[in-house]
Amino acid sequence: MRIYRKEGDEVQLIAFPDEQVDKADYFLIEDPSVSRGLLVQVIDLQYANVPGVLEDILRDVMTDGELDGKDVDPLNISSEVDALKDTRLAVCKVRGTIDQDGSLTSSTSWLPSRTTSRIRPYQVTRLITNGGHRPVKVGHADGEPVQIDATGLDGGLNIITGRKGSGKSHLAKLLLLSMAGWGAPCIVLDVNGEYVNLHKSKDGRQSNSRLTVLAVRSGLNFATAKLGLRTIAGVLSHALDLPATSSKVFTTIWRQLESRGEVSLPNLISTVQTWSCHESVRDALASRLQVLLETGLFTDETNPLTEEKILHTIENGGVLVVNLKNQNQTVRRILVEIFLGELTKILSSNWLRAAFLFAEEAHLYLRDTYWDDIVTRMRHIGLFTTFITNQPDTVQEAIYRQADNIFIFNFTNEHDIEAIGKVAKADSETIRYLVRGIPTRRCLLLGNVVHDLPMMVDVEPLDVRTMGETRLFFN
Amino acid sequence: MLHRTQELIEPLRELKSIPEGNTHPIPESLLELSSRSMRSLRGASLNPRNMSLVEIGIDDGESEESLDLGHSQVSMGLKQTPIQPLRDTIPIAACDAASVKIGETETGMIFAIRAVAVWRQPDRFLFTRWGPLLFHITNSEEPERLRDEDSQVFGGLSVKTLRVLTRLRNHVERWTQGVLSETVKNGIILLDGSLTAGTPDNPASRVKNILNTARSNHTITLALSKSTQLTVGGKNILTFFEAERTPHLFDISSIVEAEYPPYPVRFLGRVCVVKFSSDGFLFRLDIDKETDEQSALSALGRVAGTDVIFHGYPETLRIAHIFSTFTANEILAVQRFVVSNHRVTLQSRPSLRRSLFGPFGTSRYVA
Repeated sequence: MRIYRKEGDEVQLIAFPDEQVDKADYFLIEDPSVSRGLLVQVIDLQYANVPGVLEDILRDVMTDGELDGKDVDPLNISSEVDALKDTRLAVCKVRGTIDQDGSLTSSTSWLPSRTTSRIRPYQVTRLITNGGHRPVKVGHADGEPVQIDATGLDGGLNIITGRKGSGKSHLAKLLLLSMAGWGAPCIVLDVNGEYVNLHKSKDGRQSNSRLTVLAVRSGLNFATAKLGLRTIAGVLSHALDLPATSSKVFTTIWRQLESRGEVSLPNLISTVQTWSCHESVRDALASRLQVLLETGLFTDETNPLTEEKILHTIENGGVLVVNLKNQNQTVRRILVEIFLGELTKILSSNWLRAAFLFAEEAHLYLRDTYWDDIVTRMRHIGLFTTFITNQPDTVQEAIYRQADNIFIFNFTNEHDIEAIGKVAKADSETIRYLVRGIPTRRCLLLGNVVHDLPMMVDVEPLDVRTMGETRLFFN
Repeated sequence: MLHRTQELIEPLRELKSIPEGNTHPIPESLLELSSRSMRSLRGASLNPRNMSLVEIGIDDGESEESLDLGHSQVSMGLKQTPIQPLRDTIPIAACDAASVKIGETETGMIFAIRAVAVWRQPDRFLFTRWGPLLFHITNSEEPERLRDEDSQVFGGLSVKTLRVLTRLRNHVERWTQGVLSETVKNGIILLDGSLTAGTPDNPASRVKNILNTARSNHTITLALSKSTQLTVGGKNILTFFEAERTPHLFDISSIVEAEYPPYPVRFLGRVCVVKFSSDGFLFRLDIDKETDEQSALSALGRVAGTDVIFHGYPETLRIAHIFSTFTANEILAVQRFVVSNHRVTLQSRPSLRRSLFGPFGTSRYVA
């Protein structure tokens, strides 16, 4: 390989047909005169713009149909011509400088010699410490196992994205089980009910994973009084869009019932109906409380799900799956508001140091203002979210900018690629070139877990009942 | 993709002149000469030819005699003979050769030469391409040694003469023409250029032999020139015949020959101006002098009826030209071959012309 040109943070290398180069490969351009090397990553492969290739190809096309012949080529120069036609231009991004002691620095303010530099493949896994103290095996790169450090996901905001069927849920499950395996409390907001059997292997055996599934139909109940005014008011305002004026009236009613120890959903409804207020306020409150009643989440207040029970299911590495499958949007939003309210209480009370929330297709149940809440307040109280989506434009731009780790699977649509190109952890060209056309289950890792060195990984198979695969008619 | 305007219906078996297998390898003497000249390279440094597109084709110009004819002679009135396109197919073959400069060494230059022969078949074209062969043509003392050894190869020609390259290319091209004259029976051979010979670079005996062999095989030899330096009052002779729209022939032999002394230049063909199709260009055409007029017209009719496709130019000859021409990519490949097989080091020397004149320092006419 030879250096062709460098412009900004982009280096172009000429690669001959007998040299192995793939997208996402790392190369070290070592300059012996300065005892250091420029670490570059291939983001795109093009044909080298060799003069005369067009004429050659046109001539070849002519021979395809109506022309047939032979070359008496004693010097076998035609093989050299073929080699030149297949010469590639590897477009690379500079990732840093490897110093003599093998350490990586971000310095890129020097130029290696074009004539004396040696270009060789570089195993970047040696730079990302390959696992650290809490290794999570995510897959393979060039046949070598790739392990990220679970602490790289700690305290951060993560995004797993890719088009449908590309393997993003698979990776989410792998991370979820690995994190739980390291004792991390995990909660999953499961839209499609595909996490409910994670504790079973494909052949039906039970695994060691401690998994609790909560669903409306399996007796999930909350006690209104136990949830408290803040959570219920939040549900009414954010999940059921109660106007602010009505919310104030509701607070007054709640406090009066609370002072008498009579807070329950039926009591709230009957009190609202006799409360002296404007008819529109009464109607607004009554209709929304009626919706709450009809969800079936408050039918048995004698055996409610409490924050203590939630804490018990997730502490020391438990996984709590909130199954939102077959629920309408209103119920999903009510459930999510309640769970996030409860988690906030748990974390604010320091009963738990932190928890990891895996939110699949969050735009289906998260209110607009909640996105900001997640990147600010919730992170500070210890709720670390991983968003999983196949519609990257539904995740707010602020989330991409604040994301600490991004796991990107295949995208082909320009609009989608443009949306994920806003991540601060990599330049948009890297994402645009590397993501397009990558096969199923191959993922581009960006962020803290790979020390900001973008890495392509074939995600590890998982021996669990994922149930996330598309149901087929003909198979 | 070829634009075919005529349908050929004759079965393959009726075309007797298609070579079977590679019966014509490159002559050992030529290979040996190439190999020996390149051996002198070892350890040298090569200043590779700059592959900017404006320079491509620089070595591929046609070398033809230039002659200005008297104006009055053309205006005397020439006989115009119409050409009737004929659809019956006879074997048609064409050949061409090209040379290109690969780079400069301290002692000379490296050139590549390639030749192509194309045979028209009912449903397709067959071609054989010989080469490229590489030659290191030196201008030092060393070629003196080659002179005697190679004199037989070139029929007494010396390697170290001013137009060695032209001679080499002519030699290769004439050899290819010789292959066609031997293999094509009862057909037509189309050559690129003219049938004028008799210069040191282009000995008449060689052309005579080719024509004789072709005649003995009942084959008519035609030489077609894309451009000519025959002028009338400084104006290209082809421009005097542009008005006529139908396929036709003007025989201008008498005018041309009258302007030349009989020796050393020999016109071995009748010099004509031809238009093969109504929408085509005019070309200079040389017809083997020994061919009678009727046979010549019949041959031209067959070319016009079966082979002329693009701008009035025979397709067989067009393909021969396309396949012999070196592309920039091929020149780069040859440079790579030379570096990796002849232990030379690439050492680009700055172009004085470019240094002096910047972007105005490159011209295909002055390089």
